[in-house]
Amino acid sequence: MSMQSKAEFLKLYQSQLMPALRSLEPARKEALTAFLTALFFVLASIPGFIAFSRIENPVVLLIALVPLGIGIYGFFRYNQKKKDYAAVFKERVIRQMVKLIDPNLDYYPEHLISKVEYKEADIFRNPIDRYSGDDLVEGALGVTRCRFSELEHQEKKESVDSKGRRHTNWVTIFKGIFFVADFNKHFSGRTYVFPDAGSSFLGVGKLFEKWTTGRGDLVELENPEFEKLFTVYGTDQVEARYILSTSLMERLVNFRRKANTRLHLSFIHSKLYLALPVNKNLFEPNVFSSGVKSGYLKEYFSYLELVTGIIDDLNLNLRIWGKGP
Amino acid sequence: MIMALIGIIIFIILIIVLLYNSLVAKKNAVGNAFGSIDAMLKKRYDLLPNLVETVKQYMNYERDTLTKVTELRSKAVDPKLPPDQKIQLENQINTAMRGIMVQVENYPDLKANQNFMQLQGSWNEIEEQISAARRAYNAAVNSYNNACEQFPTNIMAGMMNYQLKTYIEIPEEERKNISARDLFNS
Repeated sequence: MSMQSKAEFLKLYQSQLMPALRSLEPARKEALTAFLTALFFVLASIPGFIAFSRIENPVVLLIALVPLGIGIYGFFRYNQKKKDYAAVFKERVIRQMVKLIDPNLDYYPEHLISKVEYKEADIFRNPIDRYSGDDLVEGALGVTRCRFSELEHQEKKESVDSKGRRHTNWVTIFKGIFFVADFNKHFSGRTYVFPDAGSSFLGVGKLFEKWTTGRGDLVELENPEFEKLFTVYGTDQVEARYILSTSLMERLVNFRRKANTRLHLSFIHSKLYLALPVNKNLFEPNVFSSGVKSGYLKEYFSYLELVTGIIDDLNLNLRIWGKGP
Repeated sequence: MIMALIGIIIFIILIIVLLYNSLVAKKNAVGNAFGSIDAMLKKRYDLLPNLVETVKQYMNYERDTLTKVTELRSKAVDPKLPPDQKIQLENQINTAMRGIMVQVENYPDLKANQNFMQLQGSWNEIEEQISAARRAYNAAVNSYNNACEQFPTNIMAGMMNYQLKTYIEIPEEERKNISARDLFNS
């Protein structure tokens, strides 16, 4: 987070977020109480079950089942309360943060980048067996339209072990923020910028890079720093270089350093798609600790800033190539 | 014994075929990349007269430069021109046009002209595409030259009498990134 935005964030936090969070505290505490109550009843049913396993009297079972039922209902109620709390939290807190980033951005807590758009990006080709997400932000930053949301894409993998038992494994293919922006140049082919695989021992990785098929040819670029971080594939060698100008390569290197994580990008239909992995559920409130603390909000804000910063970082508002907004 | 010998011979022939084909593919890639530069340059030649005409209506002091650009263009479109001379002419046109684009700043009417703005957008697009095509050409030359010099393809290249190819030098000012400030502020 830059100094200036830090100051701005703190100002927003003190003037608006903190009062909002304070007014939300009763709702959070209510959800917490519901959770503890439910937990209490579930725990209270345990002695009954232990007794039943020893004396096998149906009356004892009944004594055990009643608190268990109450406990399960309690968890159900807790879930409801947590959802309500989260909805108000997003409405009052996250929405304010998004507005602070740019008043032209809209926030839709329940929406997500559509599966169709995700498939169009063509970054992860694994079968999509589970697809979920939320917290969609959409709007124009300068002249560049963009949108992003949290996404999780999982693939179901079934295996049979030596004893003939079936195992179902849910493999997470991508979890994090998925970003789409209108790119500032026209192009008609496909260009993929993936994390580098070529720096491994004795150039074996380089060989491996060449074998990867189905995304066009390997595009070897002249910026060594960029080549160390990324591997580029494209359907058109010239177009890939038209998109990845010397300046964009440099900017991507810098953005990669800032984000400090593996990045997948694709350039298709004059759009830029970016998959930024984040290993946690962002923009959610925490029921179990005081909501007024600013630490986790700062983290949410810095993610918002990082992602919306792509427009400036990659200079997408520069429209001198005959492509209008 | 004979089977093993035949096996070895087939294996060697296979390797020779593979090496030969990879070299030919690399050589053709260079030709192909040069072709794409040519295509981009043609696009620019088509645009140039339009741009010069539009600019002429507004600019009074840069007539000489504009006439020079037109002359250079008519020389450059000559199909018999050898590649190195063509590149030289290209660079001259480039420098002259850059100068003109900077001068545009002094003519607010021109700058606001819708037609000019569109042409300028196309101009920048083509410039960037030409630069991309040159980089693609150099990458193809690099891959070809590596094959000519690295073992074992170098043996094959020697037998096929393949020569190293030269890179296109990208002028210093072009290596700098086009930025809006350079273009619109002098």
